[in-house]
Amino acid sequence: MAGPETAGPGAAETVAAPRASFQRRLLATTGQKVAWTIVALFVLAALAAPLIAPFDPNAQDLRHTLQPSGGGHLLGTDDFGRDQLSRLFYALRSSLVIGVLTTFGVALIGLPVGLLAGYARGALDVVVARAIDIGLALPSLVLALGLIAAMGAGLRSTVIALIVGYSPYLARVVRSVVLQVRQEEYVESARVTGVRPWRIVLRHVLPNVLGATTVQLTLIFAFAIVGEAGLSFVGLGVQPPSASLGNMLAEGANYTLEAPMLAIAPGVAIAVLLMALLFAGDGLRDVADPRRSR
Amino acid sequence: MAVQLTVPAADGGRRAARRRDGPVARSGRLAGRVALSLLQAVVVAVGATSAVFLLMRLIPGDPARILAGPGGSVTEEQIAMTRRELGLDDPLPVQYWDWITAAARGDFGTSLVLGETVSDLLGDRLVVTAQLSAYSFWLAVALAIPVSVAAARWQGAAADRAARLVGSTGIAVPSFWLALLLIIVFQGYLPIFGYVPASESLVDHVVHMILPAVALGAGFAALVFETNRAGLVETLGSDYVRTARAFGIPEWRVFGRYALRNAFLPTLTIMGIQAGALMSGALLVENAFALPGMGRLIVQGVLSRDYPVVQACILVIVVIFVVVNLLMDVIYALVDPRVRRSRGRA
Repeated sequence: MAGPETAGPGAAETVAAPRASFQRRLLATTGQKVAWTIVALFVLAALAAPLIAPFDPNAQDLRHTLQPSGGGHLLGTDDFGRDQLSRLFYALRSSLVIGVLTTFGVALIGLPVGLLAGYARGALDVVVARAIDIGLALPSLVLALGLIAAMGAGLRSTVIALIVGYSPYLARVVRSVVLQVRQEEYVESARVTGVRPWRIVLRHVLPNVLGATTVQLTLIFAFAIVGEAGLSFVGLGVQPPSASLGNMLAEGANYTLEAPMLAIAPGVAIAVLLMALLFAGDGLRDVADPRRSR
Repeated sequence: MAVQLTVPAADGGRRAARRRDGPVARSGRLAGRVALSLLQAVVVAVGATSAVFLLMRLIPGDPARILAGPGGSVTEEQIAMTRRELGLDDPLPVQYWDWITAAARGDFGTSLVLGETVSDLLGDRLVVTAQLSAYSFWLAVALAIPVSVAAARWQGAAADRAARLVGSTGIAVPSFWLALLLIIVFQGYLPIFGYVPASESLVDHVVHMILPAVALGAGFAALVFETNRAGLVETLGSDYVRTARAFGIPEWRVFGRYALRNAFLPTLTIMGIQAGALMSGALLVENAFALPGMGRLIVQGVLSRDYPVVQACILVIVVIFVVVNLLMDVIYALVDPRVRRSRGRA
């Protein structure tokens, strides 16, 4: 923990509680391994869906609908007799595609906007900062509903809606980090010696922002997966027959009595993946910014 | 009273400063802060409602054509007349002004699909959504705050570890899935679907709202718990709390007067930010429990591209969210003794 970076307020804490901090860091690394392994397994399952899925996810078998697990169907079958496990693997594909596209989109919008708002002074900062506030004042799901009303339901609209909804969150975090970094002496001296603003931003500010950005993007990836599930749950996201975690839950909601597994399995997948991602994000935060580790 | 003077000095000498200024200067600062929050809220509200307004203009399809009647039987003149009546020929700022002032009077126009006025459609549904959100909010706060205090008090104990495990699980469980799980568990024991107004039967009302409120509030409770516990743990390890303890101030007073007050600030911020997520979550949870709230209405509106309905629903949610955040700002200013610099939340 030594080094110039910890010479701030964090240094006192480190001295005060080295034991607790060490324990927590140790715990974080073991838990970290588990969390990242789970994330990797989900990604693998999604990528390898065509190879590992025991059945065609859309093949109907109307004589064997709403079957409990067994008879080759590990998670049973749905109301069309489709194999739940195979659909779950393909649903993970939808979720990961949406998660990755949303994360990229948010990075493309949120990062430059945050840099601009944080580094520019005066009217530009005020305008962009207020725009971020306004974006945050529109709850992302509600904003997504509005955008889908304009664009029609579907995967493309879902991704665009989630990008618009989550970009202000990244922009706000980036802006606040930039506001701190621009006070640093090396940025100040670069400015005084006449280095051009865009060069200062790229060479001195951006590298400092990347840590917080990575952490935030991990969370946004997680939010995007929940966001898709929520939108598809009410029928506005990924449209059937394509499987998604959300529309599988929506289907399961109709058969809570007859086949509860339909509503349980996709939710377990969401919750486990989400927990792993949040935990991984926490670990990243500790690595990216030792001062903020709790 | 010497203790009082020395201990708070550890939190930056705020109290000493307050004493020097006297109550008048403090209330003046508070008023300034509240006025600033109000101004910010107005700016955000105008910006957000303009965004909603413009967004709805992106919806394909000419509302005048839809309203004028089914295609074929109407002439272009009739459509042009409807356009004029709806004010669709006016410049956008004029249209926005007309819309927002009408909305302020409770006039949200007429649904393009259902034929009823939007305010009629909204009325009772808004009550259901607001009730669900409010019940979840208070349920979560009533549960999470005491538990977080106990967890921080007995840090590292088995109960604390168990609470943290439940907390981190709770954050990862989407409300609409928890709703399904509760339905699976309680079907047959509790009436699951539908809504009974409190005026009709208070008992039935509570019985019908309890599962939706738990489903919606659980994640929020987990978040409030984690934030407040983390804040408490941090403040309890701080110098001024140690000093307070060294001075022999009773433990309950250390908690109530020093630790909780400072730890509560980030919790308030989280509560404000999450209020929007709580209301959006309500829209989804309502769908699971077949509650006649705004959730069904807005989803139907989105599917049928009924823009007056979608626009009104979003407007109402945004305004509630802005007002809740304004309230949080004011509470923040009341709790936070540092509020005297007229600085934004930046």
